[in-house]
Amino acid sequence: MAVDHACSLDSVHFAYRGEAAERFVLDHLAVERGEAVLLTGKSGSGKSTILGLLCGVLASSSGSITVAGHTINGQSGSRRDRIRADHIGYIFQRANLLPYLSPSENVLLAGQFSKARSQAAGGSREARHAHVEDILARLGIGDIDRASSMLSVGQQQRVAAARALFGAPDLLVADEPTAALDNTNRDRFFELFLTEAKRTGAGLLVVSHDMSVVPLFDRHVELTSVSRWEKP
Amino acid sequence: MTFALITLALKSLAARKAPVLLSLLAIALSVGLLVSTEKVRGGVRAGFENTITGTDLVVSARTGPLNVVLYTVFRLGDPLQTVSWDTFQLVANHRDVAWAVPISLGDSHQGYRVLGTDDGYVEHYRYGEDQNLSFSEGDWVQDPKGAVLGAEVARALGYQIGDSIILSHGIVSASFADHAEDPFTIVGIFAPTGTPVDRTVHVSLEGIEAIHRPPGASDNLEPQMVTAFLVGMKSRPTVLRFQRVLNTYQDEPLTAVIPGVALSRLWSIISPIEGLLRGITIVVFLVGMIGLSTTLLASLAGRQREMAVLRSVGAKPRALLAILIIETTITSVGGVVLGLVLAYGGLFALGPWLRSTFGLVLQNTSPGGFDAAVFLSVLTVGLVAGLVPGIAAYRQGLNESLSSGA
Repeated sequence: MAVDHACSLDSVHFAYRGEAAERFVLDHLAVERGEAVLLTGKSGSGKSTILGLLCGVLASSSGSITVAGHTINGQSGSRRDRIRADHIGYIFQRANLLPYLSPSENVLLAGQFSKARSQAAGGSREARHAHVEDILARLGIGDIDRASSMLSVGQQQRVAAARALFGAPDLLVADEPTAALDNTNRDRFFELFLTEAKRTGAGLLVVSHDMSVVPLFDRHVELTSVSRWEKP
Repeated sequence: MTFALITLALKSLAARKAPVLLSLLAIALSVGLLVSTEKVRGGVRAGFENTITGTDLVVSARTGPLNVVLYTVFRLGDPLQTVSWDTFQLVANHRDVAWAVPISLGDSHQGYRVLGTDDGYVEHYRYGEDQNLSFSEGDWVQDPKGAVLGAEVARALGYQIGDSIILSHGIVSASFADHAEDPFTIVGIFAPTGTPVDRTVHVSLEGIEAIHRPPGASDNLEPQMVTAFLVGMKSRPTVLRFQRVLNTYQDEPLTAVIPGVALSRLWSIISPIEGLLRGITIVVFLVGMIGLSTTLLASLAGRQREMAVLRSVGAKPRALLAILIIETTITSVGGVVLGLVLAYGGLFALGPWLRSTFGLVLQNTSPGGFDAAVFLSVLTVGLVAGLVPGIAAYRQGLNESLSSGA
């Protein structure tokens, strides 16, 4: 049944090393395939912790975490890196792009470390390039070979979205992707990104504190309703 | 995959041209300085020790052994007392002596020393690794008024075969005591040797005798005395014994010196300076290496974002490590190669100037073990400088890199 989830976290316990005072407890959070979920919460409420656990860079002490049916907790760091490369498209708040690569090269980067994503994007060099051109065009980026540093912040975030979408991963994760954008650019970003995510059938988890975008999503989860920090 | 990492490393380097070129230049300069001073140092030492070879003993009137070598070989130091022609004949005809070449010093031409000798000088004087004197033009003097120039004298003063020169008494270049009535004709020019021979005017003993005899003296040009003489023994084991015989000779106080021994003693006086020079060079090199590490570390510290992005698309820590190591390796190898090109190109270009100005001939200027050692040490420093932040990136959880964007 877990296979139907793009990702799921159940009864997850986690404590940062050296901070034994508190531990993070998450009862249940799941994102279905094709579902767009907005996760909101104050800073310090555990948003980064959830992202770290999902992406496999933080290891939970107990509970169950799956991404596209693969169990993450208890796996080696190398295995978690592989699952991330193959199944997750990630978008940072800002500065997503390597400035010395063109927009299309930045998008192709997602296939450099994952054979699965590269295959899903068409396999051959020509197919992958066509795939990249297609995604970038859908996200409104036409000039794909000029320097990434010449792009506006809004364009840069859309190129980052294109990279996350490259090879149609099962789960898209975005950490406040519009924090650096004005309202017009924010709306344009979500409009295009959500449409594309729906089209690929990926599960989408966006972390934000911007309540005004709640209507754009299928579901809104307030972090404090599913998790808490416990004193030992 | 590996190719992709190299491409990424190259593009990243190309995007940071200024700092990369600066650290490349820093490596190149310190490597170039280290290699070239080491070559010059080795050349000075080899040139010094090979100034005179094949001569078993240098004999002069009683004085300090170092002074004998300084005066007869390097044309430096205090003038020596003379040795009688009879004593020279006695030594030259000794049964253990293979050959003896007389040397008469004391005159000069335009500041260059004049050396009176006989044709045995051309035959027996050896320098470097048993090299003979050879003529670039002309031949040895046939009559008393012929002169053979060292290469530098001919070049510096622009003399050619057939030109006349006037010798001066003493060593001052603008001497009033010219032997103006007795001009010499240039009959030969030696090929360059990198030894004091290049800066010497050679004439026959008879020529020296002719300009010093009082007016109206007889035509007998048989020398009465010489400054010193070079001796070659028939067999090596007799050198020490014959040296003692000469040093204790009753009829005339003599000093017999084994040139190799005196030269290495002379070098041991200079060697602390040599050590100091080497120390300074090594410190300069270390400063360059520290500069390299600093540049690399500083540039890598500013690239956390880049590392985080690569991690987010699934790059394993060891892929990041590989990228950093590829970059530092390219920078250090490029720097060393540029440094070696600078050093050898510079030595090649400055070779003629070093030779004419300091009489310094750099033998053995092909790259060797020392260059390999420099190459390896720079590579090691570069690797370590790439490894330290690389390991930091390796250990750093993605979470820190994820949130470092906040």
